[in-house]
Amino acid sequence: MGGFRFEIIFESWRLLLQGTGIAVGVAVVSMIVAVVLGLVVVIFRLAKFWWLRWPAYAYIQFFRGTALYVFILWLFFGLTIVTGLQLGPFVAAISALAILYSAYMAEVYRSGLKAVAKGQYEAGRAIGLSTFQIYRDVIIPQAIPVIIPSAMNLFIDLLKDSSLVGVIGVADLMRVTQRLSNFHFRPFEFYTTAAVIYAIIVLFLSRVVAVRLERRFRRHQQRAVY
Amino acid sequence: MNYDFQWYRITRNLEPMFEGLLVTYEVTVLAMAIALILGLILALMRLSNSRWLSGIAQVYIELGRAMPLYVFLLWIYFGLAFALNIVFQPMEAGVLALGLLTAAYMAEIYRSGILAVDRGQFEAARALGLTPASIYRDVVLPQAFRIILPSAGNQFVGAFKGATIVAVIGVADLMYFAREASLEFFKPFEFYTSAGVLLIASTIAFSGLVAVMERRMRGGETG
Repeated sequence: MGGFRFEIIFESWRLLLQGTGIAVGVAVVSMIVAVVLGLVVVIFRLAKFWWLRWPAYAYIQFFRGTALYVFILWLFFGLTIVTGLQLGPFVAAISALAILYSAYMAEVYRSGLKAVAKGQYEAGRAIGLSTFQIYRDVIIPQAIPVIIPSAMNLFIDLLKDSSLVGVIGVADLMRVTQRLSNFHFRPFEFYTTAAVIYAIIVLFLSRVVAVRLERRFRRHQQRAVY
Repeated sequence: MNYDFQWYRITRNLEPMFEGLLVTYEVTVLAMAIALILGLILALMRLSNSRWLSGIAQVYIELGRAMPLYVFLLWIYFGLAFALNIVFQPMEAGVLALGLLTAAYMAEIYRSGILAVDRGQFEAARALGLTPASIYRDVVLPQAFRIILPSAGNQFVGAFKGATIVAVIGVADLMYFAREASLEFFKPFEFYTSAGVLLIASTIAFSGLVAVMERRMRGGETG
């Protein structure tokens, strides 16, 4: 072995940083879309009418059972050729991630709403609030502290999953890593660097951000419910 | 919308597609076997009184759960192989990457299962004069296995979904075949759709099985 040359990493820091930025950017944008789309799905899922409820249920089951790699290739190579739709790699990647995670997000919303004690609905009704008011003023404020920590965990999963968007040509961290490692013929140094960057981001989110969110909201939650 | 659908390409290629699906199952089962064994070892290390063993296990579990599968897969296949000067078969690298990462998740599942066993069981076993090894082997683990069965089942489903990406390093699984066939016949929609249907049907079937298992076990507990 010719010894490791990690200094080569520092010569490429600008490209690596750019790739990291793109990777995180794709994840953040996808999560924002998933948060909105998931809300629509859960509203359907909890609707009174079966013809809204059933499609939403099928949507959730279907996309929770779908692997990102399969879906992203289907979307980018399969769907585009049939519909003539011109999706760029970015749009395809964000759409795939957002659709898959909106199904998980819908379940996060639902379990958050279910965590609010049943008596809260009844009490709201007893004092003469409308269903809309019950949700807006009673249920949702109590559900949010439950939803936010779970949504954070979901975002961490999404970020990890999104590392593969390079397969359809998004110039994210892994794609940049592949290119640099081929160019310099230093795969160990570059792939290790990419793994370390991901580990740092994910551990920061799960060990620092998520823990803080949970601590803050658990206290808040106890105050609100009891 | 004047795409010329050629579904007969699929019906003519059913055999290699199912062979590919079988490879995806194979990767999942082998990786899961690694995860079940290594995960148990990690969980026992994590719960041991030795600060060293516990610390090593904790670092492994934390890092393993933080690492994206795709990143780890490429790291093993391209990075580690180069550094150690060995050549992995794609299949070996795929199973290893999926197995080593799933082991970290399995360790946490085992741990929560062991901790969920009633403390009184430990104390009763100790009072009977069983050795620590016997306490785990004969009393605690059999009960823990029952408790973790549904979570382990869900982990299996997760591993199966993860296994679909091994095609990126050239494992000749279903997604690999779909890609090759799409290029050959220039019919990506048909091949990716069919591959997707087979894989999603598998996941939904496995998830259903886990749900049945879960319900039956819950019924058993109350009965």
